[in-house]
Amino acid sequence: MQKETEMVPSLTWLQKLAGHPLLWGLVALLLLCPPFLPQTYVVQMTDTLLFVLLAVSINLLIGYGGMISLGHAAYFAIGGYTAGVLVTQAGMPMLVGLLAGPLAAALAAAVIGLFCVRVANAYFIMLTLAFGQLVYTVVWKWRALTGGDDGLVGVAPPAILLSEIHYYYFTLVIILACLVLIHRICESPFGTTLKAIRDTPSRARSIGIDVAGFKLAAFTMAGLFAGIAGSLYVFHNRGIFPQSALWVTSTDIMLMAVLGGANHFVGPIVGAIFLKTLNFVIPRLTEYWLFFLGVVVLLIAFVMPRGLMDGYDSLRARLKRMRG
Amino acid sequence: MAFSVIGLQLVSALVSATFLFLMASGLSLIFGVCRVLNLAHGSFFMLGAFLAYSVTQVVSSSLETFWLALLLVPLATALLGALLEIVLIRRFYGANLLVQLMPMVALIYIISDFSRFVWGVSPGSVPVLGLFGTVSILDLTFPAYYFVVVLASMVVAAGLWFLITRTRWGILVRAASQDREMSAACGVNQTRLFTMVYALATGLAGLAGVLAVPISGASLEMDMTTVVNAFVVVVVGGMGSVLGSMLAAILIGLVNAFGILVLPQFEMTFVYALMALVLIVRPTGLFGRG
Amino acid sequence: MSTKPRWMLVSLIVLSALNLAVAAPSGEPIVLGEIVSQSGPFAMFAAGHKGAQLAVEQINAAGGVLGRPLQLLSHDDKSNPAEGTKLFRELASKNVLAVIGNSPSSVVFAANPLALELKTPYVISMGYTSVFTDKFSHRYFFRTITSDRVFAYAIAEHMAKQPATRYCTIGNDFAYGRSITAAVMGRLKELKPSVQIIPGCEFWVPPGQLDFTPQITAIMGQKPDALMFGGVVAISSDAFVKQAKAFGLFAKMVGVHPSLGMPTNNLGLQKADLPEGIMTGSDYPYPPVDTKANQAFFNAYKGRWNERPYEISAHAYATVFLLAKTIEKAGKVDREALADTLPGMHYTHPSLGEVSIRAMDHQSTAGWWLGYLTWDDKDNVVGLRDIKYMPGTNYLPTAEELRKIRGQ
Repeated sequence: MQKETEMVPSLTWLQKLAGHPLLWGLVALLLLCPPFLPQTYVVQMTDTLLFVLLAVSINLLIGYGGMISLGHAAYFAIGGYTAGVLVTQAGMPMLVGLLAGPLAAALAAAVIGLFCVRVANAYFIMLTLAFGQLVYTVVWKWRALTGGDDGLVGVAPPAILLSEIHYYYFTLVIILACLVLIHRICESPFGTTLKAIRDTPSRARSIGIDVAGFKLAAFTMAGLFAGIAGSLYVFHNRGIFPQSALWVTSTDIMLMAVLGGANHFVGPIVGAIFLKTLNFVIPRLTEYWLFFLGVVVLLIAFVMPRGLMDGYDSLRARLKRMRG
Repeated sequence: MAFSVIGLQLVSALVSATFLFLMASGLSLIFGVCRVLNLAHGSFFMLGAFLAYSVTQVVSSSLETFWLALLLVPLATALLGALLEIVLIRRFYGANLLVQLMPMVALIYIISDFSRFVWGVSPGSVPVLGLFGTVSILDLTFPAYYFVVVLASMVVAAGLWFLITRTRWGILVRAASQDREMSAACGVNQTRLFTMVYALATGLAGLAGVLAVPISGASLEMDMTTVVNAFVVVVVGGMGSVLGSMLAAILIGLVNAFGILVLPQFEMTFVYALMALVLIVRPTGLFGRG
Repeated sequence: MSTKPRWMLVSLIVLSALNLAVAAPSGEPIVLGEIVSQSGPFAMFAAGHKGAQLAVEQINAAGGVLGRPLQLLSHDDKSNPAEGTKLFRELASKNVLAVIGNSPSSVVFAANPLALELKTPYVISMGYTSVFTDKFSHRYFFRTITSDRVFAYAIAEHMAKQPATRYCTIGNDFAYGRSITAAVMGRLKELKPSVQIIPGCEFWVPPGQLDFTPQITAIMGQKPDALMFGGVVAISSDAFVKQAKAFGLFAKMVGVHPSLGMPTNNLGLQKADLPEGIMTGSDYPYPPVDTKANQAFFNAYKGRWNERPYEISAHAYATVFLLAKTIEKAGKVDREALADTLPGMHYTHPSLGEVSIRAMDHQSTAGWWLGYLTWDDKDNVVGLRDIKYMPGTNYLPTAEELRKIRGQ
């Protein structure tokens, strides 16, 4: 027994990741399926991948830092707009946009985070919401740079990435790399400290942890990854619009994380795929798609208040008990 | 000239502040007592506006009917609020704010599409503004209804103040918002108290909706815009403080009304800029306890 | 109201007679894509879908196109340009022949470049912003309604004859709002150089804004001769008109709004909300234009959907008929053939009569009805009186002007 527990820390992160069979099945599906799918679904899958990264990045705040942000779309938009403006107005290559977008988002997150991490709970929610709206109004009003409500259009990737399937694999590689990176961050001492802060902030403070500093670092990191999603999005979508910074987008991202299960690394991934699929399917079935989406979310809230992954876990535990 | 401009902007600031206050005070109350962030608050505002429209459609668009709606609709939204609290919201008390998010978002979605189903996509009008006539002071002319709105909100503010500071019920509310466990330990029936607070706040949102409908009509989407603005007011005023909500609402009304005089091209940004400024100085808002 | 059952009976008989006379269409359907705002701030554009659907049903009842049935594949863009571009790519990747646009100008602005990239005809029956055809038109882009330049210039001509010189403006801060404000005021200054906008009296409000009190009081404080509020549209225009009337704004200055007669901009208004006598316009004015084509459309629409048509209903209806006619003329179902054949096509619009698609910019010659705002007691909606038709050809840019606009 003693020996086994000692063994655990020596497991590499890769071995730990291998312990998620669901994840590996998913990755195999994502790699192999697209060539056999109609283009529509490939576009939809690229879009979903970007929101997977958004949901996982916001989970750095919620699941690890206990910070509920309703302004995450702002960093997504800043990343997208920065990349788009550099490419369309300064004539930079795509690579520069892909690097500068996330950096700008991280910078904005660091500045806004400075004010947000000073407060907690409901104040944090409303502050992030209000700052998100501030970013939205700036995007809307700064027409010369952002195109205002017309959006920034005509942002095309280089010829080789114009094909939907090429862009899909390009996105997939970057997103998978980001997911592995975020997983490593979460499993690192940094992630453990964040969890400690989430669960017992006062105790964390009393043992000398710089709570605000850790929270700000998490906030900035989440902004960085949202910026990566944003700068990938702007090339995929050939442009970006102010709505991408609107609080409704933030709520969507948040909902993905919560719906999938914020306590799991895989939860937000499942949540993003689930919600994006619903958003694709329900409007094609009924004009009142919002109503039915609401009913589905409500049902999940009742049955699995901690998200789909939590529900999956308890179901598995129950099956095990039944068998055992 | 200068005087009339200032006078006009003052009144319009007060009118805007009225709606902000009615919404924000309810949000603040619910959060203070029930510890729930009522994201769906704007939905009750929209329902109030649409219900008032329906009442005047069914009966007649006369003043009497409007008064009737003003009386009945807030009761209806309060009742709906109580009902939702009992069957839905209550189950998520005590859980962290995160867990409350799913049912709240679901509620926004459902009420929004329900309204689209019932009332359709074209906005509804309750044309009673003209029936109230106008009031002239010096060379300024105002629709008299705007004074009715401001007056109504003053009555509500005074009523709230009385309820919270001068009644036994108010003592229970304050006790619960300061220390929920202790007040429960002292034998306060919290279940009923929470339902009543939720009903009161949603009733206020419905009242704001009825008061708004002669001015802006009833339309889909008004739920979202209203709740975001109300959030800004609560953030500036401080959570759980009705007085803070009132002062913040007036402050925001003034900043917006005079801001557009000076820099009309920055219409949307004043409010958020003010909020950012207040929060840099006082992270918990003007009257927040943190 | 009492005539409704009789009309329904007549159209039923006509329809069933047609069914007997014409062979039912057979074979693989010809699919038309449609991007329409059915939710979000422009949810009222769902009426466009109803018009298109009605046209498809009528065409199929009359034997289809090239003997094949017509089919509509519609998706809701949620009034969101990002959603619109996604849907456009989806539709373009399927076997749709063309995409019909029933969305606000922001969606058109975003989807327009995609039509060229994906070589898919994009035929819009909503979105008046003039730059779409003036500047950004291309092989695959067509507009079957008028351009805001037409009604901006028409109303500017009217205002230039009025004594007003000191103007304030207010508009929703989005593509169309700015386009119409610039067009009206620019033309007005050209025609009458003494016209000026009072400094600091230009207001831009977010689309969907409902409380205009601070703007109204600020405008009244400036005491202008006239207020150009043509950029305030959709749900905002209802709220603005109501509040401005309550403040007595229209008694103190001339209100200028070229499209307040459009159902999209006024369906939330009732009789008591309405200021009388403002010069405005619409391309589907009430009472319905008294032509055979419009009567047939109006009654068929009311019979099918049990509600009155919006302007967008008539536009989308005319657009589907135009596409059907074009496919027949091209003789094959092919995107390139459609793009080749559409320029120069003539078609009938219920309320605007015979119009055509100009070859030089793919802009329709559809015009605009100007008239004075009034209440239409018979239909119980906002109406226009003393209406006068302004043909698009009188105001659309000439080939020379187009070259200038495009900087060629």
